[in-house]
Amino acid sequence: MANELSQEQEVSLLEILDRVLDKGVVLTGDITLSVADVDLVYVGLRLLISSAEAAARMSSEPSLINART
Amino acid sequence: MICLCAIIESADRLAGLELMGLDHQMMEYLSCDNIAAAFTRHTVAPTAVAENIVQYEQAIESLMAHAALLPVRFGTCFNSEERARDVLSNNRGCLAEGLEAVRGQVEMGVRILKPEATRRPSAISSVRGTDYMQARLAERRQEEEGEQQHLRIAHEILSPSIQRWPNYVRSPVRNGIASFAFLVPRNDVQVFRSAVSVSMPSRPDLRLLCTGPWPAYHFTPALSNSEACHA
Repeated sequence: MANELSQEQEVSLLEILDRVLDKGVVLTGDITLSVADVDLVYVGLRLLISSAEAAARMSSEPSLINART
Repeated sequence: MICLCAIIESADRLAGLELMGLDHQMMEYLSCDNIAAAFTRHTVAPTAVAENIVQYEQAIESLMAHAALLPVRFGTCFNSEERARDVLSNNRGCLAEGLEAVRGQVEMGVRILKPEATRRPSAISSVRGTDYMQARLAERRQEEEGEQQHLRIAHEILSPSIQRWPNYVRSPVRNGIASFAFLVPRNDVQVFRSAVSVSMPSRPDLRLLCTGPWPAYHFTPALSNSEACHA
């Protein structure tokens, strides 16, 4: 996906991903998001995704991203 | 289950508004003492795909038009309202302070991009392990020096803005992008944009992206132990 986007489009998407996935109030939730079988986001503990680039990469592969309780 | 979207001061002023949230679900509110949370109901936890993430951000922005808020990180879901209310109650002091700090303010993002031409692909071609590692180390040091230089230039460019809006955070330089977030009074948005744009002609070789107004994502309270922050 990144190769098909101009640098500015890429940066605009990163602006959103940086905020929604990596910033904001972190509260202890009950739900854990995971990618494949590797837990990347322990919402119940702390959000571990810190790389917007990684999130952008994952968003182009939605089948790899699952949510589970 | 319910997924939180934002912390707000009171749901009263939102009563009667039919705001839509994640997955086209109607926004609802739960109160806890002097704060409240906006949330949506779901049968399964929303997936972290681009469509949902953008929709989530738009939902927070629609709330922001009506109330001071602290955005909640995507994916904060609870199995019941009671459980969510317990967590809010445990953090109500920090959250109320956080709301107070961002009242009447918005976040403005500024990214300063290095020209594409200066970001060269790796030139390492050695096949010997030691040589490769040394070359890689030298290349990395060069990259770090470049990042530091880029950061100095970014600070120089934004110096007038920093003096006027000193509440800002800076993220590490990544892929040639220096990223800043400023907390700016809502009424200063246009002034801020103008101030940032006039500083660029001094460096025509760089590109600048100014975004916002955003909810105050970078200025939410840090809850080191979310169960231990009481009013």
